[in-house]
Amino acid sequence: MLSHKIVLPAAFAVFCGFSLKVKENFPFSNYPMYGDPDPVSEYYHLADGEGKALAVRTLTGVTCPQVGKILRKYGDERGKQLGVRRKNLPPEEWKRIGDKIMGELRDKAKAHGNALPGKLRIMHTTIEYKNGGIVETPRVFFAE
Amino acid sequence: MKNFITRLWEALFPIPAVSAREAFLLRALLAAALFWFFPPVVQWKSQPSPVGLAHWMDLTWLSHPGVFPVYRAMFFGLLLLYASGFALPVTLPLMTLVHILPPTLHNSQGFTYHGNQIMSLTLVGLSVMTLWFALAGRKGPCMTSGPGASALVLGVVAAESVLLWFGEKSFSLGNLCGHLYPGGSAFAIGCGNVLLFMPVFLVLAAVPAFLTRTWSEDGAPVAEVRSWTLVTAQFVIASAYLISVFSKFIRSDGMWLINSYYVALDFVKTLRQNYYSGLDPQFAVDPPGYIVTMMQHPVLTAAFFDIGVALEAFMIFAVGHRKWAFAFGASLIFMHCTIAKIMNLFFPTHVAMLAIFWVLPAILGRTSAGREPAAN
Repeated sequence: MLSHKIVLPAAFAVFCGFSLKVKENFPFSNYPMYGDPDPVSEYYHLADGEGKALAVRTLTGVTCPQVGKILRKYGDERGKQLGVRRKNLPPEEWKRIGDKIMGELRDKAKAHGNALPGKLRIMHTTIEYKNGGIVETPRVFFAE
Repeated sequence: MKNFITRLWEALFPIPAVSAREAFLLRALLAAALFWFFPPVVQWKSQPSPVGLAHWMDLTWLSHPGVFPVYRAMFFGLLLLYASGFALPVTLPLMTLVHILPPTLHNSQGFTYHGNQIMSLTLVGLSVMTLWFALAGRKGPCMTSGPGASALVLGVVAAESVLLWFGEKSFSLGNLCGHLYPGGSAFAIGCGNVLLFMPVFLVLAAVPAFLTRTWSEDGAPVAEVRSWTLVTAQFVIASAYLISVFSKFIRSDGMWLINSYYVALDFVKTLRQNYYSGLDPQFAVDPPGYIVTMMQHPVLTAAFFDIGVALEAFMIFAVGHRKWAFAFGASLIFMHCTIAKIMNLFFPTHVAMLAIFWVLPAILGRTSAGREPAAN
């Protein structure tokens, strides 16, 4: 019978290797959060056609960070299909991804008994430390 | 040197003796935490990006009208059976499956939600361990009740799970303090709710436990399974933290410890995301001044974050050591509370699991003092 001092490290190696391989497959995870601290932090939020922020969680059940996670996930998946990194995806691919996400958000809003405005935007904001202060720079990432 | 290495090897991963009473308390507290954090509703009507078991099965039936209340009542019954120690090789895997399905559907929406992940993962580890002992048959089946006692236990648990379900629906069992003192502060009410809920749940769990004789040292589960329950839970939790350390180093090309001070910028991100999720005016504020201070002192800030990562990396060596586990568990709970305070990002299920399997065993260990260590 093997000693538990061999079994436990072996189980640990298998468990870690498996989790890192399958990544986010509930209940397994590779815990990528805050894994790559960057001089530029960023977030996305939902806005109407005029750029006025929408309470995305109240309307759809999806939170603001989850909008960013969906974007990154779909970007990664499409990038993998095309053999390019997510950040190098051409604008038309991001347009397709944006349209897909808007469709899904509208479905979720409907399931919550809400309706989203006819035109939507995804806003992207970067956060940097510059000249002794925090600088936030918003831009339109996707617009219908 | 050789002597030192030998001593280190001997000290690695001890298997602690766990009394029947301590094992019951650990199971009951885990069941109470699982009850507390189990989702009240399932709102997702589709699974656009399936993960885990959703790759093989459609889980949207969980959101069909009338399904989830019955599912929850079933889960409550399984929790009480588990806490009582009844037929663990059957109860525990079934409870694990029931616990995993709703968050799997949640995580199949295209984004990740780690709310119940550490709990589901620990349950998977405990299920594998329990099935291993049951199937290996080295210590006999992990159940001792006869048919009559089993029927009685199942009847009692069915009645109690209906009581739990009805209590939750009619006067919200998890918010007793909120009903008694509606004007109290959110923190006081939260603490009060937990303090009132725990004894109620422990009493409910104690009745079937008494009937199954899990109080008795020669009852089921046997001593070796009790010991391995604690070790397995600690092991899974420590592994989860260590995997996050590996991911940090992989994703940052080994630069995490040096660049970690940039995490301070994510505090601003979290603040903004909290605001834009619900346009809640309490988050419509300027970034706190300490963010700028942290960015002005990158070495000190990096050291602050790196201590947290060191805790996550080395806690694996505390598995099986009650005092060391207490030190690591309490430190990590402090880390989570600090993150919650400055980032508004709290992981209550992680704190609960650390409290139950890393902090409490140092206190509950007194009930196991003087007993023979379990066979390795």
